[in-house]
Amino acid sequence: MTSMNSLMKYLIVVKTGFFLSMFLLLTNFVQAQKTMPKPTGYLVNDFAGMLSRSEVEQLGAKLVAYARETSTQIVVVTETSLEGEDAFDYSYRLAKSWGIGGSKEKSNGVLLYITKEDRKVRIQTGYGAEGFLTDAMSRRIIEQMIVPAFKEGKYYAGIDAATTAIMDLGKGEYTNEGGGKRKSEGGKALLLIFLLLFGLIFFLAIYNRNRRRRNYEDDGGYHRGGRYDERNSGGGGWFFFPMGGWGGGGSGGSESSSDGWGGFSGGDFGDFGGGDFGGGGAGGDW
Amino acid sequence: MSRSLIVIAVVAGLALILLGKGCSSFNSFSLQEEDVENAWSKVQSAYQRRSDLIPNLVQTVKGYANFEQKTLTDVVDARAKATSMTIDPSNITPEQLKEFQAAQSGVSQTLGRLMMITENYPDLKANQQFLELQSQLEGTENRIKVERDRFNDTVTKFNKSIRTFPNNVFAGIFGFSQKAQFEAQAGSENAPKVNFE
Repeated sequence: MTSMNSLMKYLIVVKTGFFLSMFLLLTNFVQAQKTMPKPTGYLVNDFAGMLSRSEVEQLGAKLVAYARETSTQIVVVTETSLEGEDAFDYSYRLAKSWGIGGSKEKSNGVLLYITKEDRKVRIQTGYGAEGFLTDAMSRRIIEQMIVPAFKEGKYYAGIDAATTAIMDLGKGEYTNEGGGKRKSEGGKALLLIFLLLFGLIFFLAIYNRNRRRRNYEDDGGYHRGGRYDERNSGGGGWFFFPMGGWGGGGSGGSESSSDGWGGFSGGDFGDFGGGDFGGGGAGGDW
Repeated sequence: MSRSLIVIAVVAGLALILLGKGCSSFNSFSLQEEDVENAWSKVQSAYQRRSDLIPNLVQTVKGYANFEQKTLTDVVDARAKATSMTIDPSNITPEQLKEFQAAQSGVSQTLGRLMMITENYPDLKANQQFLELQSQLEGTENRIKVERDRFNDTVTKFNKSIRTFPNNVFAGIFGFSQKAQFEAQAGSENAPKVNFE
C-alpha cells in the first residue's frame, strides 16, 4: 500500500513536471518578439560592442551632464541584431518600456537605436521631445551625420555628432529641478557592496532567529513579506547581484542580456523617469 | 423574533455590499470610458496631423512639371472625404469606426500611390522641402499606428472589465456596452512606405 502511494506521488510529480515544461516551451514558442534587455541605468548601452571603452565613457559623461542640467535623457543603445523584428516597432517598445525621459509628464526622452548587423538607425522621440526634435530634424541628423560616418566605420564620430546635434536642439526646452538622482560615481560600487554584505548578514541573522522561533510562534503575515523568504524561490532574492552596472565606478563592463558579452555601458544615470513615446522620430540605413 | 432580525440584518448587509460594489464598478467604468475617449482623441489628432501635411505635400509636388494631376486630385479628394467625417467619441459604433477606417485608408492608399510616383522624379527627391515632408509623413504614419494600437488596448481593457462576472450585471444596469475597435491593420500594406537611400 505504501509503495503504491509513493508510486502515485512519483507519477504526479513527473506529470506536473512534464506539463510544466510543455507549458514553458509553448509560452516560449508563442513569444516571437525579440526579448528586450532590462534597463541598465546607463545612458550609453553599447551591447553590440561598436565603441571602445573610453568612447563609451566620454559619450556617457556628455549625456549625463546634459541630463542633469536639462532633465532631457538621450539614450544610446546598440545591439547586434533585430532578429527579424521591425526597427521602428522594436525601438519603440524598448524606449517605452524603459521609460526614457526625465518624468512621465515631460516625456522628454530620446532613444538613438543602432543595430549593427541590420545596419539600421532609428531615433525615437518621446512625446515631450517631439517639439524640438521633429521628424524632419531626426531624419536630417541620421542622413547627414550618422549615415556618412557609419559608412566609413566611424561609429563614435557619428553617434557623437548626432547626440550633440540633439542636445543643441533641446537646449532651453527643459530644465532639471530635481537635481541628479544618484550620488557621486566613484564610491558607488563600494557602497553597494557594503550594503549588500550588510543586508546579507542582517537577513541571515533574522532568518536564523526566526527559524528558532517559528515552531511556537504564529507570526502572521509579517514573514511572508520578508525578503529572506525569496531564498526559497531559486535565489530570486539576489538576482540583481551579478548583473551588469555596478562594476567599475560608472563605466564598468556591463553584461548585455541579449547578446552575450557585448560592449560597455557608460553614463551612469540611475532611473528613467517613465517617459512616454508616441512614435515620432525617423529611421535610416547605412 | 431573533430569527427575522438576523434575516433582516443579512439582507441589509447584502444590499449594502451590492450598493458599494455597484458604485465602485460604476466609477471604474466611467473612468475607463474616459480613457477610451482620451485614446480616441489621440487617434484623431494623429490622423489630423496627416491631413494637415497633405496640402503642403500637394503644393510641393505640384510645382514639378507634368506631375500626374490625377494622383494629386485623388489625394485631395480622399482627404476631403476623411476630414468630413466626425465621430462622437462617447458613442463610437462599429459601423462608424468602420467608415472612419475606410475613409482613412482611402487617404493612405492615394498617398501611397503619390509617394510611389515621386520615385520617378529625381529632382523632386532632391528637394529639401519634399524630403522633410516625406519624413514628417513617415513619422505621422508611425504615430497613427501607435495611437491606434493604444486605442485598441484601452478598449480591450474596458471591454474585458465590463464582461467579467459581477461587472457584467452592473454594466447592464448602468447601460455600458462593449466598444468597437480598429480592425487589425486592414490595408496597412498600402500605407506609404518611405525609403531613403
